[in-house]
Amino acid sequence: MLSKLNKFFSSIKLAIILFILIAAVSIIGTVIDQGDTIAQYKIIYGNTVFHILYWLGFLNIYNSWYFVGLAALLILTMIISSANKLPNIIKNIVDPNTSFDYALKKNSYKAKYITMQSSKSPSEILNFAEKTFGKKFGKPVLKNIGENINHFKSGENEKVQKISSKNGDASNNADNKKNNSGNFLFFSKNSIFRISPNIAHLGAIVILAGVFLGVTLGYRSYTNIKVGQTVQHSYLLKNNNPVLLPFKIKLDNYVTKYYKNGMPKAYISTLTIIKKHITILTKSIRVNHPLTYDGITVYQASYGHYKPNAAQILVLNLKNSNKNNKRLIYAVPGKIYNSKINNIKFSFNFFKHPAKDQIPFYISVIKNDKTVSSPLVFQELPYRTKKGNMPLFFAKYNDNIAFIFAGIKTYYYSGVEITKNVDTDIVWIGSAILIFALFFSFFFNQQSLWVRVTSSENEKINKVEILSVPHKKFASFYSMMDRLTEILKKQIL
Amino acid sequence: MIHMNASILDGSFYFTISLLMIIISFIGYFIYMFTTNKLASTASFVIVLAAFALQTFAFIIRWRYSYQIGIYIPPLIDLYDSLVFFAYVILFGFILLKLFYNFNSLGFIMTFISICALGFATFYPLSTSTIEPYIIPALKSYWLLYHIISLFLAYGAFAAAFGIGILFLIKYNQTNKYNKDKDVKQSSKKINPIKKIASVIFYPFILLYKQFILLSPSIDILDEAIYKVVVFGFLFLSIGIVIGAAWADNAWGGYWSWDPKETWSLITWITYAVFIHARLTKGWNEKKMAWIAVIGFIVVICTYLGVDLLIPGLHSYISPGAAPVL
Ligand code: HEM
Repeated sequence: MLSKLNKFFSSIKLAIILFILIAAVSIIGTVIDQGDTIAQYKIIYGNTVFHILYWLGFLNIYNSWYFVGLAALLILTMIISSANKLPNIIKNIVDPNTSFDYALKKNSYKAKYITMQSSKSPSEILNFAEKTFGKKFGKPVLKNIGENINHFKSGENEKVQKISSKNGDASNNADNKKNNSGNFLFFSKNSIFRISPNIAHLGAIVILAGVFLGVTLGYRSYTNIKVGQTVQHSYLLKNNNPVLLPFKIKLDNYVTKYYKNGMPKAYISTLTIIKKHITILTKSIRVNHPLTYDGITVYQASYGHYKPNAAQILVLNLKNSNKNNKRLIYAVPGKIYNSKINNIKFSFNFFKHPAKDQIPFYISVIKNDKTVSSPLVFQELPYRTKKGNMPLFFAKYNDNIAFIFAGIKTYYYSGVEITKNVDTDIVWIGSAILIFALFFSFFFNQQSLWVRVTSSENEKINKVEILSVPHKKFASFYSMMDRLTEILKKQIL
Repeated sequence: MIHMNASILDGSFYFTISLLMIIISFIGYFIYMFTTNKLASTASFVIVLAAFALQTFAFIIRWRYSYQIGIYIPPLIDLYDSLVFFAYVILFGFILLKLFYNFNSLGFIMTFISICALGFATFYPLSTSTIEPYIIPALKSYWLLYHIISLFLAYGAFAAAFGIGILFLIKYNQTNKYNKDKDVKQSSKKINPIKKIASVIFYPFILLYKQFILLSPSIDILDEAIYKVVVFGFLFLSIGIVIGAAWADNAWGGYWSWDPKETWSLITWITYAVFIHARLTKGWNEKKMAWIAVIGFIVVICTYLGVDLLIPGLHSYISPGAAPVL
């Protein structure tokens, strides 16, 4: 049962099915807009279809249980299949099976097996072979040249000369598969890189683990901060739930810089981080240049302004040009404001039906909760505001109080994204592992080669067998072997 | 009026000339396909080399021009840039393959893809070669350069794999049919008379076509080339996606937002991951692999152009869900 499960999870077919399913689910996510509001969905799809899509999880598909489940299965499959293959691969690297006959039997579908005959002595043949194949295969791992081949008995290993095997007592190994008698060479190129696919899988596992960690422990949120405002909450991107930040953020200033043609060039917010009433740092952020403090990163994401709804009204005492006799008030239509100048309260209003050529707003002066003036109509002044070059409007009350309408107040805000990343480093490490391992698994292919010489009874003619096994069935490998064996043939005939 | 990008100032004139050259070499390769005339293929290849050199020159002009008008980022930003770069990478890939494998028979496919990309760049009204003296802030980053170059190396490789895949399928079917025809003759079955007449009329063409098929590399070599080209592409696709993710993290605060472009790049990646693994399973023959290489390129085109043209509003400055409109 367990071994069946094991086999099921190790199969590449399962991996392919998972890959295809993940791709299919992803495609659904690009066809159906993700993250719209319910109202929007109802308009697009109608009520019934909306409910079906909602029930299927199609509206938030990348967080659906089945998508997460597929990703989890992918991790599981990669772990199990790697764990199954790893012991064998490691054994192959540190203690390769050098048996000619075993290799011939096991790899018949991709091995190239060539035989030829030569009247040269076995040691001569093998020396030529070492030189010829050495160009492509490096030094032989095992070189076994017996002088008196007829009397060579299996198990007699004194003449086995190990050149580069890490396993010191391999030659004493009783394992039959390793029992090589006679004259032979064994080359193994790039065997260490057999591990690269496993490392690629490790990289993919690390990435996915990082993503899972990030989804569970980190967050992505946004908030809009008005210029001058301090905030300590932001709102999760996925569901708008508030998050309490470990510090306060104040937006000192926000500017949009423009190209000459009016295209925005840069969006710059100056932020101050405040923790327990202490100013920690002030920094300007813009796109591509975020701010990180305490594991939390603040990014410039958007900007805008609130609907202009407050008028800037300057109240002046004309008889007394003292500093305290001037006051700027941001007035919202309909509300009553205390100007604190001569105890005058007022409200700022729009005419419902302004007459033609009439300025459409007016001031009502209020005393003891009663409107005491008829609407004070504004007149345009021949001056303009310094900032913004806006027209100024002027209205007078009782000869000594003036109201100056100095334009509309707009509140700029900066939209920032605030993220807590516990996972990004893990994801980058996983990516680096994956990419390096991909490189090595694609471009460093393992190749093994055996050359065996056996002599006929009369010792006049020796039989040369050449067995080469590539890890991948490449036409170029076989043609290279053809070329090299031709060269060898010429030398030993 | 036909819209055409051909300005000397921004370099597009030279790209348009190179388009003409590639069309000529395509015709040359087409002639080669039916006549197996060596001269035709050699001349075509020389023209391809010249077109490639001209495009390199055009890129230098264009890059210099963008610096002159104050864009301190290489011109790899809009649709036109990316299409001409795509055509460039495809020619580059073809030149490499021709040098390594002597792939003359690939010429007509690769030049054709290159013509499509360049033609689209030159004549599609929404693809304009003018470089505006401003770029949106998010693109002001050198991540962009590495991101795009990696991805286009990958796309170029996948285009080459597509071409070799097509060649493989032609050759594979032809070899099979040839064998079948022999079987038919041996068993002296009745042949459809229309087919017979057709085969008589087209006999010279069929003969020449078969010659061409014989000239193209063996299916084993084609199969190996598909694998090697795909894994090269897969490596660079992976690198490009990781760079893109790092860039997004740097600019927007999240390395992955599931926007359609990102999602489709993942789908592309998965398609080729299937290719790589399917090779390792027994029972998946080379023909199926060639088909995956062909389908993979269709997925690439979906990612590259389909997403932009069909699903609006992505890779824009304001990241999804950021600021509610007030
Ligand atoms: C469902 C999960 C997966 C399973 C079960 C799986 C299984 C396998 C197996 C059994 C091999 C053959 C190993 C060998 O030749 O020694 C392999 C190779 C490989 N796998 Fe995976 N794999 C999975 C996911 C992935 C992922 C996500 C990647 C990421 C790129 C990946 C990359 C590779 C590479 C590069 C190779 C080597 C291919 C080659 O040399 O041609 N695998 N995989």
